[in-house]
Amino acid sequence: MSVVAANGLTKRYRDVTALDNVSFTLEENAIYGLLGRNGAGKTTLMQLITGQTSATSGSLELFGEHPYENERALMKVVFIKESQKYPTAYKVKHVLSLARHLFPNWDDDFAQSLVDDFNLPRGRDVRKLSRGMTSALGVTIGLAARAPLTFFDEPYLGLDAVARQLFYDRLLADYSEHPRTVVLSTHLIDEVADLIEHVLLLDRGKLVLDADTDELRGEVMDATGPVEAVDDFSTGREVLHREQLGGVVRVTLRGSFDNAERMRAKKLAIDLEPVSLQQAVVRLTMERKTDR
Amino acid sequence: MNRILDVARLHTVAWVNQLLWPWGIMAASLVVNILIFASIDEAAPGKTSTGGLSSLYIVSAIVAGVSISQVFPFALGMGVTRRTFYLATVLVNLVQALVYGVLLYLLNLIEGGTNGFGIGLHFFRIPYIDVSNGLLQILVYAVPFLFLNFLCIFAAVWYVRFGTNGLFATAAVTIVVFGLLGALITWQGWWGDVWHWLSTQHQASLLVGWPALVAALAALGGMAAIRRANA
Repeated sequence: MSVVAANGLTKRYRDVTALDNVSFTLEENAIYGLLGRNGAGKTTLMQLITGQTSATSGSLELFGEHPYENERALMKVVFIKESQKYPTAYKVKHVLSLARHLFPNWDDDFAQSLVDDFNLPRGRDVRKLSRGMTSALGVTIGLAARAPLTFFDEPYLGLDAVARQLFYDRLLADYSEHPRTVVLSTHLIDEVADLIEHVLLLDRGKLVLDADTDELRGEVMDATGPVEAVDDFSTGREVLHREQLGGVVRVTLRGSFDNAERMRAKKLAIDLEPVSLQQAVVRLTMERKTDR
Repeated sequence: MNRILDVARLHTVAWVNQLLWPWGIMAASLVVNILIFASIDEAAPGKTSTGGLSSLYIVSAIVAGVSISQVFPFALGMGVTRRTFYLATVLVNLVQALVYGVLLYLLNLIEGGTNGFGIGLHFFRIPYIDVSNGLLQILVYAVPFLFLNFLCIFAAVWYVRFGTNGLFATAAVTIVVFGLLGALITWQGWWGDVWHWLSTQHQASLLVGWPALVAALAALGGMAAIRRANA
Protein backbone atom coordinates (compact mmCIF):
# COMPACT_ATOMS: atom_id res chain seq x y z
CA MET A 1 0.00 0.00 0.00
CA SER A 2 1.27 3.45 -0.88
CA VAL A 3 1.74 5.98 1.90
CA VAL A 4 0.01 8.61 -0.22
CA ALA A 5 -1.95 8.09 -3.44
CA ALA A 6 -3.27 11.14 -5.28
CA ASN A 7 -5.34 10.93 -8.43
CA GLY A 8 -6.47 13.96 -10.40
CA LEU A 9 -6.08 16.11 -7.30
CA THR A 10 -7.30 19.67 -7.89
CA LYS A 11 -7.61 22.59 -5.51
CA ARG A 12 -9.14 25.90 -6.58
CA TYR A 13 -9.38 29.06 -4.52
CA ARG A 14 -11.97 31.24 -6.25
CA ASP A 15 -10.17 32.16 -9.50
CA VAL A 16 -6.78 30.63 -8.62
CA THR A 17 -6.03 27.00 -9.42
CA ALA A 18 -3.42 26.06 -6.82
CA LEU A 19 -3.27 22.42 -7.89
CA ASP A 20 -4.32 21.20 -11.30
CA ASN A 21 -5.08 17.52 -11.85
CA VAL A 22 -2.10 16.17 -9.92
CA SER A 23 -1.55 12.39 -9.73
CA PHE A 24 1.31 10.61 -7.96
CA THR A 25 2.11 8.18 -5.17
CA LEU A 26 4.50 8.34 -2.23
CA GLU A 27 5.96 4.97 -1.26
CA GLU A 28 7.23 3.66 2.06
CA ASN A 29 10.74 4.43 3.24
CA ALA A 30 11.99 6.99 0.76
CA ILE A 31 13.09 10.60 0.86
CA TYR A 32 11.22 12.79 -1.61
CA GLY A 33 12.07 16.28 -2.75
CA LEU A 34 8.97 18.37 -3.41
CA LEU A 35 10.32 21.16 -5.57
CA GLY A 36 8.97 24.15 -7.39
CA ARG A 37 8.90 27.92 -7.40
CA ASN A 38 7.01 30.07 -4.92
CA GLY A 39 3.30 29.66 -5.54
CA ALA A 40 3.76 26.41 -7.45
CA GLY A 41 1.34 24.63 -5.10
CA LYS A 42 3.75 22.76 -2.82
CA THR A 43 2.27 23.95 0.46
CA THR A 44 -1.29 23.46 -0.78
CA LEU A 45 -0.42 19.87 -1.68
CA MET A 46 1.01 19.20 1.77
CA GLN A 47 -2.00 20.84 3.43
CA LEU A 48 -4.29 18.55 1.48
CA ILE A 49 -2.35 15.43 2.43
CA THR A 50 -2.30 16.44 6.11
CA GLY A 51 -6.04 17.14 6.17
CA GLN A 52 -5.67 20.85 6.82
CA THR A 53 -7.77 21.73 3.82
CA SER A 54 -9.96 19.80 1.42
CA ALA A 55 -9.65 19.23 -2.31
CA THR A 56 -11.95 20.70 -4.94
CA SER A 57 -11.87 17.45 -6.89
CA GLY A 58 -9.85 14.30 -7.35
CA SER A 59 -9.07 11.52 -4.93
CA LEU A 60 -6.49 11.39 -2.17
CA GLU A 61 -5.56 8.54 0.13
CA LEU A 62 -3.29 8.73 3.16
CA PHE A 63 -2.32 5.26 4.39
CA GLY A 64 -5.27 4.00 2.37
CA GLU A 65 -7.80 6.36 3.99
CA HIS A 66 -9.27 9.76 3.38
CA PRO A 67 -7.12 12.20 5.39
CA TYR A 68 -9.62 14.93 6.33
CA GLU A 69 -10.49 14.64 10.04
CA ASN A 70 -9.06 11.12 10.07
CA GLU A 71 -7.35 10.68 13.43
CA ARG A 72 -5.87 7.24 12.72
CA ALA A 73 -4.20 8.37 9.49
CA LEU A 74 -3.15 11.81 10.74
CA MET A 75 -1.44 10.40 13.83
CA LYS A 76 1.10 8.83 11.45
CA VAL A 77 2.02 12.20 9.98
CA VAL A 78 4.08 15.15 11.12
CA PHE A 79 4.02 18.37 9.11
CA ILE A 80 6.71 20.92 9.95
CA LYS A 81 6.21 24.21 8.21
CA GLU A 82 8.07 27.46 8.28
CA SER A 83 4.82 29.32 8.94
CA GLN A 84 3.82 27.29 12.02
CA LYS A 85 2.24 29.56 14.64
CA TYR A 86 2.73 28.88 18.33
CA PRO A 87 0.44 30.11 21.12
CA THR A 88 1.96 33.05 23.02
CA ALA A 89 1.87 31.25 26.37
CA TYR A 90 4.08 28.35 25.24
CA LYS A 91 7.70 27.92 26.18
CA VAL A 92 10.07 25.59 24.29
CA LYS A 93 9.68 22.90 26.97
CA HIS A 94 5.87 23.08 26.66
CA VAL A 95 6.01 22.42 22.92
CA LEU A 96 8.35 19.45 23.46
CA SER A 97 6.15 18.03 26.21
CA LEU A 98 3.03 18.34 24.02
CA ALA A 99 4.77 16.71 21.06
CA ARG A 100 5.80 13.82 23.31
CA HIS A 101 2.14 13.11 24.04
CA LEU A 102 0.81 13.73 20.54
CA PHE A 103 3.20 11.63 18.43
CA PRO A 104 3.06 7.89 19.09
CA ASN A 105 6.66 7.22 17.93
CA TRP A 106 8.20 10.20 19.74
CA ASP A 107 11.77 9.59 20.95
CA ASP A 108 12.42 11.94 23.83
CA ASP A 109 16.15 11.18 24.16
CA PHE A 110 16.59 12.03 20.50
CA ALA A 111 14.55 15.22 20.97
CA GLN A 112 16.63 16.30 23.95
CA SER A 113 19.88 15.67 22.08
CA LEU A 114 18.61 17.80 19.17
CA VAL A 115 17.63 20.58 21.59
CA ASP A 116 21.20 20.53 22.89
CA ASP A 117 22.71 20.39 19.40
CA PHE A 118 20.71 23.44 18.30
CA ASN A 119 21.31 25.25 21.62
CA LEU A 120 17.58 25.76 22.10
CA PRO A 121 16.75 27.50 25.41
CA ARG A 122 14.10 25.25 27.00
CA GLY A 123 12.66 27.92 29.27
CA ARG A 124 12.22 30.62 26.65
CA ASP A 125 8.86 31.73 25.25
CA VAL A 126 8.54 30.31 21.74
CA ARG A 127 7.35 33.67 20.42
CA LYS A 128 10.61 35.23 21.63
CA LEU A 129 12.84 32.77 19.74
CA SER A 130 14.80 34.07 16.78
CA ARG A 131 13.73 33.01 13.28
CA GLY A 132 16.48 30.40 13.19
CA MET A 133 15.68 29.01 16.63
CA THR A 134 11.99 28.71 15.74
CA SER A 135 13.05 26.69 12.69
CA ALA A 136 15.34 24.55 14.88
CA LEU A 137 12.40 23.80 17.18
CA GLY A 138 10.33 22.72 14.18
CA VAL A 139 13.14 20.52 12.87
CA THR A 140 13.51 18.95 16.33
CA ILE A 141 9.81 18.07 16.46
CA GLY A 142 9.81 16.77 12.90
CA LEU A 143 12.77 14.46 13.47
CA ALA A 144 11.96 13.23 16.99
CA ALA A 145 8.32 12.51 16.07
CA ARG A 146 9.58 9.68 13.83
CA ALA A 147 6.25 9.78 12.04
CA PRO A 148 5.87 7.24 9.21
CA LEU A 149 5.23 10.25 6.95
CA THR A 150 7.25 13.38 7.71
CA PHE A 151 6.84 16.68 5.87
CA PHE A 152 9.35 19.50 6.07
CA ASP A 153 8.05 22.62 4.31
CA GLU A 154 10.98 25.05 4.03
CA PRO A 155 11.94 24.06 7.54
CA TYR A 156 15.14 26.01 7.83
CA LEU A 157 14.40 29.66 7.26
CA GLY A 158 16.96 31.59 9.29
CA LEU A 159 19.05 28.51 10.06
CA ASP A 160 22.75 29.06 9.38
CA ALA A 161 24.78 26.71 7.18
CA VAL A 162 26.16 24.78 10.17
CA ALA A 163 22.70 24.20 11.64
CA ARG A 164 21.38 23.14 8.22
CA GLN A 165 24.21 20.64 7.84
CA LEU A 166 23.39 19.37 11.34
CA PHE A 167 19.79 18.89 10.23
CA TYR A 168 20.80 16.96 7.09
CA ASP A 169 23.23 14.78 9.05
CA ARG A 170 20.75 13.98 11.80
CA LEU A 171 17.98 13.32 9.28
CA LEU A 172 20.12 10.91 7.28
CA ALA A 173 21.48 9.10 10.36
CA ASP A 174 18.05 8.70 11.92
CA TYR A 175 16.48 7.76 8.60
CA SER A 176 18.92 4.89 8.12
CA GLU A 177 18.10 3.54 11.58
CA HIS A 178 14.36 4.24 11.42
CA PRO A 179 13.34 4.28 7.75
CA ARG A 180 10.23 6.27 6.97
CA THR A 181 8.82 8.46 4.23
CA VAL A 182 10.21 11.98 4.29
CA VAL A 183 9.12 14.83 2.03
CA LEU A 184 11.44 17.82 1.86
CA SER A 185 10.07 20.94 0.27
CA THR A 186 12.81 23.42 -0.33
CA HIS A 187 14.41 26.00 -2.59
CA LEU A 188 17.94 24.99 -1.57
CA ILE A 189 17.96 22.15 -4.08
CA ASP A 190 21.73 21.63 -4.31
CA GLU A 191 21.95 21.24 -0.54
CA VAL A 192 19.48 18.38 -0.48
CA ALA A 193 20.39 16.85 -3.85
CA ASP A 194 22.33 14.02 -2.21
CA LEU A 195 19.55 13.35 0.30
CA ILE A 196 16.56 13.02 -1.94
CA GLU A 197 15.90 9.83 -3.82
CA HIS A 198 12.90 10.99 -5.78
CA VAL A 199 11.86 14.34 -7.18
CA LEU A 200 8.37 15.75 -7.55
CA LEU A 201 8.42 19.06 -9.39
CA LEU A 202 5.39 21.33 -9.37
CA ASP A 203 4.99 24.31 -11.65
CA ARG A 204 1.93 26.55 -11.45
CA GLY A 205 -0.15 23.79 -9.94
CA LYS A 206 0.85 21.08 -12.41
CA LEU A 207 3.12 18.15 -11.66
CA VAL A 208 5.78 18.48 -14.36
CA LEU A 209 8.24 15.88 -13.11
CA ASP A 210 7.97 12.68 -11.07
CA ALA A 211 11.28 10.86 -11.32
CA ASP A 212 14.05 9.13 -9.39
CA THR A 213 16.92 11.51 -8.76
CA ASP A 214 19.45 9.15 -10.31
CA GLU A 215 17.35 8.66 -13.43
CA LEU A 216 16.91 12.40 -13.76
CA ARG A 217 20.67 12.94 -13.49
CA GLY A 218 21.21 10.65 -16.48
CA GLU A 219 18.30 12.19 -18.36
CA VAL A 220 19.22 15.85 -18.38
CA MET A 221 22.59 16.72 -19.90
CA ASP A 222 24.48 19.76 -21.10
CA ALA A 223 25.95 19.32 -24.59
CA THR A 224 28.60 21.82 -25.65
CA GLY A 225 30.26 21.90 -29.08
CA PRO A 226 30.15 23.21 -32.68
CA VAL A 227 26.70 24.49 -33.66
CA GLU A 228 26.05 22.02 -36.49
CA ALA A 229 27.21 18.99 -34.55
CA VAL A 230 25.18 19.91 -31.49
CA ASP A 231 22.05 20.66 -33.52
CA ASP A 232 22.44 17.31 -35.24
CA PHE A 233 22.85 15.56 -31.88
CA SER A 234 19.82 17.39 -30.45
CA THR A 235 17.32 16.05 -32.97
CA GLY A 236 14.86 13.73 -31.30
CA ARG A 237 15.63 15.16 -27.87
CA GLU A 238 13.89 17.80 -25.85
CA VAL A 239 15.92 21.03 -25.84
CA LEU A 240 15.42 22.71 -22.50
CA HIS A 241 17.84 25.53 -22.97
CA ARG A 242 20.18 26.89 -25.63
CA GLU A 243 22.91 29.50 -25.51
CA GLN A 244 25.24 30.31 -28.38
CA LEU A 245 28.57 32.11 -28.36
CA GLY A 246 30.07 32.46 -31.86
CA GLY A 247 30.37 29.02 -33.43
CA VAL A 248 30.01 27.21 -30.13
CA VAL A 249 26.67 26.34 -28.61
CA ARG A 250 25.58 24.83 -25.33
CA VAL A 251 22.21 23.16 -25.04
CA THR A 252 20.52 21.44 -22.14
CA LEU A 253 18.91 18.26 -23.42
CA ARG A 254 16.43 15.85 -21.94
CA GLY A 255 16.27 12.31 -23.20
CA SER A 256 18.08 9.02 -22.88
CA PHE A 257 21.83 8.91 -23.21
CA ASP A 258 23.11 5.37 -23.53
CA ASN A 259 26.72 4.39 -24.22
CA ALA A 260 26.32 4.44 -27.99
CA GLU A 261 24.92 7.95 -27.80
CA ARG A 262 27.79 9.05 -25.59
CA MET A 263 30.28 7.66 -28.10
CA ARG A 264 28.50 9.45 -30.91
CA ALA A 265 28.74 12.73 -28.99
CA LYS A 266 32.43 12.17 -28.51
CA LYS A 267 32.92 11.58 -32.25
CA LEU A 268 31.04 14.79 -33.03
CA ALA A 269 33.41 16.64 -30.63
CA ILE A 270 30.54 17.37 -28.28
CA ASP A 271 31.30 17.71 -24.63
CA LEU A 272 28.48 15.92 -22.76
CA GLU A 273 28.11 16.41 -19.02
CA PRO A 274 25.33 15.88 -16.49
CA VAL A 275 23.79 18.96 -14.92
CA SER A 276 23.19 19.41 -11.24
CA LEU A 277 19.74 18.66 -9.87
CA GLN A 278 19.21 22.37 -9.27
CA GLN A 279 20.14 23.21 -12.89
CA ALA A 280 17.86 20.47 -14.17
CA VAL A 281 14.96 21.81 -12.10
CA VAL A 282 15.60 25.39 -13.20
CA ARG A 283 15.78 24.36 -16.86
CA LEU A 284 12.66 22.21 -16.66
CA THR A 285 10.72 25.04 -15.02
CA MET A 286 11.98 27.82 -17.30
CA GLU A 287 11.40 25.77 -20.42
CA ARG A 288 7.73 25.51 -19.53
CA LYS A 289 7.53 29.25 -19.17
CA THR A 290 8.86 29.87 -22.70
CA ASP A 291 6.36 27.32 -24.01
CA ARG A 292 3.46 29.64 -23.32
CA MET B 1 -10.54 9.33 25.19
CA ASN B 2 -6.79 9.15 25.83
CA ARG B 3 -6.21 11.19 22.72
CA ILE B 4 -8.68 13.80 23.98
CA LEU B 5 -6.80 14.02 27.29
CA ASP B 6 -3.50 14.39 25.44
CA VAL B 7 -4.99 17.13 23.31
CA ALA B 8 -6.52 18.79 26.39
CA ARG B 9 -2.95 19.34 27.56
CA LEU B 10 -2.65 21.90 24.75
CA HIS B 11 -4.88 24.11 26.90
CA THR B 12 -3.39 23.27 30.28
CA VAL B 13 0.36 22.95 29.59
CA ALA B 14 0.90 26.66 30.19
CA TRP B 15 -1.38 26.46 33.23
CA VAL B 16 0.37 29.30 35.01
CA ASN B 17 -1.02 31.78 32.49
CA GLN B 18 -4.34 30.04 32.38
CA LEU B 19 -4.80 30.21 36.16
CA LEU B 20 -2.70 33.15 37.18
CA TRP B 21 -4.28 35.82 35.03
CA PRO B 22 -7.97 35.31 35.86
CA TRP B 23 -7.41 34.67 39.57
CA GLY B 24 -4.63 37.21 39.91
CA ILE B 25 -6.80 39.95 38.45
CA MET B 26 -9.72 38.88 40.64
CA ALA B 27 -7.46 38.89 43.73
CA ALA B 28 -6.29 42.39 42.85
CA SER B 29 -9.93 43.44 42.50
CA LEU B 30 -10.75 41.87 45.89
CA VAL B 31 -7.88 43.67 47.63
CA VAL B 32 -8.87 47.01 46.10
CA ASN B 33 -12.50 46.47 47.15
CA ILE B 34 -11.52 45.59 50.71
CA LEU B 35 -9.36 48.72 50.93
CA ILE B 36 -12.06 50.97 49.49
CA PHE B 37 -14.91 49.58 51.56
CA ALA B 38 -12.79 49.54 54.74
CA SER B 39 -12.15 53.25 54.32
CA ILE B 40 -15.73 54.28 53.44
CA ASP B 41 -17.84 51.88 55.47
CA GLU B 42 -19.05 54.74 57.64
CA ALA B 43 -19.92 56.86 54.64
CA ALA B 44 -22.12 54.41 52.73
CA PRO B 45 -24.00 52.22 55.15
CA GLY B 46 -25.70 49.21 53.62
CA LYS B 47 -24.00 49.55 50.24
CA THR B 48 -21.34 46.90 50.60
CA SER B 49 -21.95 44.80 47.48
CA THR B 50 -19.48 44.92 44.61
CA GLY B 51 -19.26 43.56 41.11
CA GLY B 52 -15.54 42.89 41.33
CA LEU B 53 -16.15 39.17 40.87
CA SER B 54 -17.12 39.77 37.24
CA SER B 55 -13.43 40.33 36.40
CA LEU B 56 -12.80 36.61 36.91
CA TYR B 57 -15.54 35.72 34.42
CA ILE B 58 -14.44 38.25 31.82
CA VAL B 59 -10.76 37.28 31.92
CA SER B 60 -11.65 33.58 31.76
CA ALA B 61 -13.80 34.18 28.70
CA ILE B 62 -10.98 36.07 27.00
CA VAL B 63 -8.56 33.23 27.77
CA ALA B 64 -11.07 30.76 26.27
CA GLY B 65 -11.42 32.81 23.07
CA VAL B 66 -7.67 33.22 22.68
CA SER B 67 -7.23 29.49 23.24
CA ILE B 68 -9.16 28.93 20.03
CA SER B 69 -7.52 31.56 17.85
CA GLN B 70 -3.99 30.57 18.96
CA VAL B 71 -4.11 26.92 20.01
CA PHE B 72 -6.31 25.65 17.15
CA PRO B 73 -3.80 26.45 14.35
CA PHE B 74 -1.05 24.86 16.43
CA ALA B 75 -3.17 21.77 17.10
CA LEU B 76 -3.94 21.31 13.39
CA GLY B 77 -0.20 21.61 12.67
CA MET B 78 0.43 18.80 15.16
CA GLY B 79 -1.92 16.44 13.30
CA VAL B 80 -4.84 16.81 15.71
CA THR B 81 -8.29 16.57 14.15
CA ARG B 82 -10.77 19.43 14.55
CA ARG B 83 -13.21 17.13 16.29
CA THR B 84 -10.71 15.93 18.92
CA PHE B 85 -9.45 19.46 19.47
CA TYR B 86 -12.97 20.77 20.04
CA LEU B 87 -14.00 17.92 22.36
CA ALA B 88 -10.83 18.50 24.37
CA THR B 89 -11.65 22.21 24.53
CA VAL B 90 -15.17 21.48 25.76
CA LEU B 91 -13.79 19.08 28.37
CA VAL B 92 -11.27 21.62 29.66
CA ASN B 93 -13.94 24.30 29.92
CA LEU B 94 -16.42 22.02 31.72
CA VAL B 95 -13.83 20.87 34.26
CA GLN B 96 -12.54 24.40 34.71
CA ALA B 97 -16.04 25.80 35.30
CA LEU B 98 -16.72 23.14 37.90
CA VAL B 99 -13.38 23.65 39.70
CA TYR B 100 -13.81 27.42 39.65
CA GLY B 101 -17.37 27.00 40.93
CA VAL B 102 -16.13 24.96 43.88
CA LEU B 103 -13.31 27.44 44.60
CA LEU B 104 -15.75 30.34 44.54
CA TYR B 105 -18.10 28.44 46.86
CA LEU B 106 -15.21 27.98 49.32
CA LEU B 107 -14.45 31.69 49.11
CA ASN B 108 -18.18 32.33 49.63
CA LEU B 109 -17.99 30.29 52.86
CA ILE B 110 -14.88 32.18 53.96
CA GLU B 111 -16.62 35.49 53.32
CA GLY B 112 -19.59 34.29 55.35
CA GLY B 113 -17.38 32.98 58.16
CA THR B 114 -15.35 36.18 58.47
CA ASN B 115 -18.36 38.49 58.30
CA GLY B 116 -17.36 39.85 54.90
CA PHE B 117 -13.61 39.98 55.57
CA GLY B 118 -14.29 41.82 58.82
CA ILE B 119 -15.94 44.78 57.12
CA GLY B 120 -19.23 43.27 55.94
CA LEU B 121 -18.14 43.21 52.29
CA HIS B 122 -20.24 41.25 49.78
CA PHE B 123 -17.68 40.26 47.16
CA PHE B 124 -18.68 36.60 46.66
CA ARG B 125 -22.07 36.63 48.45
CA ILE B 126 -23.74 39.02 46.06
CA PRO B 127 -27.50 39.54 46.60
CA TYR B 128 -29.72 37.28 44.44
CA ILE B 129 -26.70 35.23 43.32
CA ASP B 130 -26.17 34.12 46.91
CA VAL B 131 -28.34 31.00 47.35
CA SER B 132 -28.80 28.82 50.39
CA ASN B 133 -28.16 25.41 48.82
CA GLY B 134 -24.45 24.54 48.56
CA LEU B 135 -24.72 22.45 45.40
CA LEU B 136 -26.89 25.03 43.70
CA GLN B 137 -24.43 27.72 44.79
CA ILE B 138 -21.59 25.88 43.03
CA LEU B 139 -23.70 25.67 39.85
CA VAL B 140 -24.66 29.34 40.15
CA TYR B 141 -20.95 30.18 40.13
CA ALA B 142 -20.00 27.60 37.47
CA VAL B 143 -22.67 28.08 34.77
CA PRO B 144 -21.84 31.73 33.92
CA PHE B 145 -18.33 30.52 33.07
CA LEU B 146 -19.83 28.08 30.58
CA PHE B 147 -22.20 30.73 29.25
CA LEU B 148 -19.49 33.33 28.61
CA ASN B 149 -16.71 30.94 27.60
CA PHE B 150 -18.75 29.04 25.01
CA LEU B 151 -20.12 32.26 23.50
CA CYS B 152 -16.52 33.51 23.30
CA ILE B 153 -15.33 30.18 21.86
CA PHE B 154 -18.11 30.29 19.29
CA ALA B 155 -17.06 33.81 18.24
CA ALA B 156 -13.40 32.71 18.07
CA VAL B 157 -14.27 29.68 15.90
CA TRP B 158 -16.28 32.00 13.66
CA TYR B 159 -13.24 34.27 13.41
CA VAL B 160 -10.89 31.37 12.60
CA ARG B 161 -13.24 30.11 9.91
CA PHE B 162 -14.54 33.32 8.32
CA GLY B 163 -11.90 35.92 9.27
CA THR B 164 -12.36 39.42 10.59
CA ASN B 165 -15.03 40.35 8.06
CA GLY B 166 -17.03 37.22 8.84
CA LEU B 167 -16.90 37.91 12.57
CA PHE B 168 -17.93 41.55 12.28
CA ALA B 169 -20.61 40.84 9.70
CA THR B 170 -22.12 38.26 12.04
CA ALA B 171 -21.89 40.71 14.95
CA ALA B 172 -23.65 43.37 12.85
CA VAL B 173 -26.42 40.96 11.86
CA THR B 174 -26.85 39.92 15.51
CA ILE B 175 -27.15 43.54 16.62
CA VAL B 176 -29.74 44.25 13.92
CA VAL B 177 -31.76 41.14 14.81
CA PHE B 178 -31.82 41.92 18.52
CA GLY B 179 -32.46 45.61 17.81
CA LEU B 180 -35.47 44.74 15.65
CA LEU B 181 -36.66 42.32 18.33
CA GLY B 182 -36.41 45.11 20.94
CA ALA B 183 -38.26 47.49 18.64
CA LEU B 184 -40.95 44.92 18.02
CA ILE B 185 -41.44 44.34 21.76
CA THR B 186 -41.61 48.10 22.40
CA TRP B 187 -44.01 48.65 19.48
CA GLN B 188 -46.32 45.88 20.64
CA GLY B 189 -45.97 46.94 24.28
CA TRP B 190 -44.79 43.50 25.33
CA TRP B 191 -42.17 44.64 27.87
CA GLY B 192 -44.59 44.13 30.76
CA ASP B 193 -45.09 40.53 29.70
CA VAL B 194 -41.32 40.02 29.33
CA TRP B 195 -40.65 41.30 32.85
CA HIS B 196 -43.50 39.25 34.17
CA TRP B 197 -42.09 36.12 32.56
CA LEU B 198 -38.62 36.85 33.96
CA SER B 199 -39.90 37.53 37.47
CA THR B 200 -41.93 34.33 37.57
CA GLN B 201 -38.95 32.22 36.55
CA HIS B 202 -37.45 30.17 39.33
CA GLN B 203 -34.13 31.51 40.57
CA ALA B 204 -32.43 28.26 39.53
CA SER B 205 -33.79 28.52 35.96
CA LEU B 206 -32.66 32.09 35.59
CA LEU B 207 -29.20 31.58 37.09
CA VAL B 208 -28.48 28.03 35.92
CA GLY B 209 -31.04 26.54 33.51
CA TRP B 210 -31.33 29.15 30.78
CA PRO B 211 -27.62 30.18 30.70
CA ALA B 212 -26.66 26.50 30.56
CA LEU B 213 -29.01 26.00 27.61
CA VAL B 214 -27.48 28.95 25.74
CA ALA B 215 -23.98 27.66 26.56
CA ALA B 216 -24.88 24.22 25.18
CA LEU B 217 -26.26 25.74 21.97
CA ALA B 218 -23.11 27.87 21.54
CA ALA B 219 -20.94 24.80 22.16
CA LEU B 220 -22.84 22.79 19.52
CA GLY B 221 -22.65 25.69 17.07
CA GLY B 222 -18.90 25.94 17.62
CA MET B 223 -18.54 22.21 16.94
CA ALA B 224 -20.45 22.48 13.68
CA ALA B 225 -18.44 25.52 12.54
CA ILE B 226 -14.98 24.20 13.42
CA ARG B 227 -15.38 20.97 11.42
CA ARG B 228 -14.84 22.91 8.17
CA ALA B 229 -12.39 25.49 9.55
CA ASN B 230 -8.82 25.69 8.29
CA ALA B 231 -6.05 27.31 10.23
